[in-house]
Amino acid sequence: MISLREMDEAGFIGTMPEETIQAKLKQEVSRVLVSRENRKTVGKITVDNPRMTCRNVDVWYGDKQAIKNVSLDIGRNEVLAMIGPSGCGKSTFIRCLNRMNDTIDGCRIAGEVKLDGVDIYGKNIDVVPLRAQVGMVFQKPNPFPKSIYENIAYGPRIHGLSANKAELDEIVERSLIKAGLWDEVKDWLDQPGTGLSGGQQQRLCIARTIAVNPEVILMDEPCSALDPIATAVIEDLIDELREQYTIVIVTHSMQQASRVSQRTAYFHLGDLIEVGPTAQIFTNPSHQLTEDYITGRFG
Amino acid sequence: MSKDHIVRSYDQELDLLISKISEMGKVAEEQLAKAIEALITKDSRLAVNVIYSDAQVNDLQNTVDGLTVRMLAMRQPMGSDLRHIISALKIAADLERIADYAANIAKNVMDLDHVSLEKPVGLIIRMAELASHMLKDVIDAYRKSDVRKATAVWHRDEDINQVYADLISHLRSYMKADSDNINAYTSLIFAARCCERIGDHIKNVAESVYFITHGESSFENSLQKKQLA
Repeated sequence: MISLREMDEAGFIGTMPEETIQAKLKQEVSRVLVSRENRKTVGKITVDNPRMTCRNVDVWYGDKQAIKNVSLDIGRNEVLAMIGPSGCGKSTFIRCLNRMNDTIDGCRIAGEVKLDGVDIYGKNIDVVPLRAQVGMVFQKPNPFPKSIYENIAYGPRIHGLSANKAELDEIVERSLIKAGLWDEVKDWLDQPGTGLSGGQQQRLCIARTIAVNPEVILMDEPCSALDPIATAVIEDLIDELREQYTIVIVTHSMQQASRVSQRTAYFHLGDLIEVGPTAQIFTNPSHQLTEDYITGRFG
Repeated sequence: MSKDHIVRSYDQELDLLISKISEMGKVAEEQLAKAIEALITKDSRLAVNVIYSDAQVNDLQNTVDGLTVRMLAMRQPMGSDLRHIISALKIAADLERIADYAANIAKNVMDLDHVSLEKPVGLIIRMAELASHMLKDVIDAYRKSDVRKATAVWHRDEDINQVYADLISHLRSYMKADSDNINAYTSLIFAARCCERIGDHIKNVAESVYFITHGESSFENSLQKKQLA
């Protein structure tokens, strides 16, 4: 909205009714895109009753800082999409959420990441159960070179989630049903998981993640190796899984982010630039860098 | 919007869209100017010309519609691009209506050439001229994404409404005194109504210009929201 002064200069204040002027005076300054140079996070980073909270997270690979002071909440039963150009830190950030970065030499992490109020980088935290609670699905489907049944049963067995074979059978069936794969594989459970199609393999990996009762499922570009039909099946599945789990998805497809998520976070060169409701981010972002990226002007 | 798209053909398409809207605006403006001219000179041949050349604007609207549908399907626009493309559809519809009203004004010219109604016709010409200037300015504001100019145009609609109100009250008293010429007076009311509606459509275009830049539906809405809150 132009200012009253500008209106006056243009010669229109005089003809405006008094109540309109009063309303205009009360009106907030309208949306002005935050400049490209400003790198402070724009938007609301907090949610009510969060599942995970991240505060002032820094990540270095050797001397190179990959994540710079990122603070962000992840809500319950929401799909949070992370978007941004390659090398922006979104995959690095998602890997902080279940300490997947621990395995990388020279990787240092500062700040605080909490799951249900507990610091996952605390001294007494065992990463094995943590990674069950915060499961992960990768870009390329990576089933074990074992039977479909064993792919699912492996996790519950090592985590001691079943007392006997009957219980284990039930977990396998339930997980495959939730992953929308049961009808397609129920007669072939003893066949190798690697014999399935790409989309089926990815759903098998999701079933494997679900089998160990996670709270959060991290997905790092889960559909980038899949065709549009298999992608649609996974996206539909994500929508269903949201009722029970919190999902954080990294994706290079903005259309996918806009379809599956409720909140979207935009990363750029290690900074969290903007976070907000997905519809707002894609129709009316507040930061110029977000606008550049979603409209294809990045570069 | 300072930066270009990575995909250059996208920019070319957006430029084409803007130029088609500008062209539509120009044709609508010419139509209106010719209608005014026909009113002034009582030239029924020119009036017929306006009525027939309305098809040109309709064709341009079809072009804009086709282009926007194509861009929505093929580019999956986001952010300001999305707002630009959606607004192009709306602006094209507004401009098409404006040209229709210009043709309607021309249709009424034929009923006016046999009576002397200098004063009310003068007021209609005044309204149409105000509308014509506003139309030129709003298209200019659209081409340059000049929200300030668009806002100024938006407020000028009040001037047209003022003349309209004066005209109607004049006509009421004329009609009481001179019931023999009731046909001519009703034609004048129609023509005045057309000018008044043209002003409203120009206002819509101004709101679209605002929306493209700010992503809010209109200043009027945001004002109303504030007043309700």
